[in-house]
Amino acid sequence: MTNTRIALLGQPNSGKSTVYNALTGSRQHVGNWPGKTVERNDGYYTYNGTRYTVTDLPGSYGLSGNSDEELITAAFIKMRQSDLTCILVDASQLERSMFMVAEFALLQKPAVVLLNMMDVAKAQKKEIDAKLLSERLGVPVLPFTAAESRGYDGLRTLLAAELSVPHTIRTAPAVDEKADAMAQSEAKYRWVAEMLDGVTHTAAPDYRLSRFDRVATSPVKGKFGLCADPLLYGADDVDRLQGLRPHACALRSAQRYDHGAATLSQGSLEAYPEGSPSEGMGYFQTRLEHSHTRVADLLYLLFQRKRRYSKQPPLSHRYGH
Amino acid sequence: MKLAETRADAHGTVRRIRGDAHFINRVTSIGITEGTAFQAVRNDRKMPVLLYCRETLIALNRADAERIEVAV
Repeated sequence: MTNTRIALLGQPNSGKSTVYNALTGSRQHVGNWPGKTVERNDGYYTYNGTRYTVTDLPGSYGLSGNSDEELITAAFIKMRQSDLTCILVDASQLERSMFMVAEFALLQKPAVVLLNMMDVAKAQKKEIDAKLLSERLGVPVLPFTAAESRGYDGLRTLLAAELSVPHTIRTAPAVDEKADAMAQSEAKYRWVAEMLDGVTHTAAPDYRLSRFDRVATSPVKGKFGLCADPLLYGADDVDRLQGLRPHACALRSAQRYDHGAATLSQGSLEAYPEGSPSEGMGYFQTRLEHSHTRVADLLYLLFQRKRRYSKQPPLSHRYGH
Repeated sequence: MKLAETRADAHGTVRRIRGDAHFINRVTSIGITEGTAFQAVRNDRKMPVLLYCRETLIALNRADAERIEVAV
């Protein structure tokens, strides 16, 4: 019997839902903010007469943390035993995104690595030697742009081939289980640096905000911009709204949570509130999409009232773990 | 000095991150580890600190930025 269970794993906003939709033909809501997928989705597609099950997992930054997303995602990978895990890596932020590959390498499970957002990486003039990376990891590495339809035949072929003859990542970070969290993370980034040595060039830190972002993230002017967006474009057009003011939105989300952090780049934002990153942003976006809460949300945006989402039931309750 | 005290456009290195294992896990998984080079992009009063490291722009809550010691 052919193994046909594929899991899509990756950090928030790495393109999992876009790949899931394209493979299965479903219409999962996609957006350029992280934490959109707050629950697991299963779908199917048929290729060469075989039916494949695809699982779109919630995005998490790693597998060893103790936030709800990380626990649920790690439990799925470890316990549900998908036959193949497709790890999505953001090619435009390769070093940081490879952290998930480092975490996965410790599990010794069959995998393929999808270097997603190659179009963005190319626009940033980043060159990635996927062949060399594949040789080092011991698993296939496919340069990919999830938003373009032309690469999916190659992906389906690769997934079918890997399900027949799976490969596992041949090296793993030298992590001392007894070491503290910082030492373990540093060991994983060292492994990432070894894997990427000569594969890509990481630019020295030098970043300039665009004129729009300077205004949008301004303490005073930014508030007017944030309020004007939903009024101009309507809260229905959440994707566009997010695309227009990702930096401002990320700043607000980080500000909103007492212990929050958010990462964002090239028009994407990644919010990371305490305990459950996806929960907060997912809840916030869900509220934006429901008309009866729009007035409340506009008032919220106007007055920046502090609101906690901690009363939401934890994700683990929803899944019954 | 603390990350929350850095000036915009300053380049520096993360020296020490104080906090429990949960906090350390959170910040390291988004790319901030001890020894990481960064650029402070924006740091306004009562606003999250915006920094650039590992090819990623990160907005960090001020309370968290207080727990990260840096050298610029």
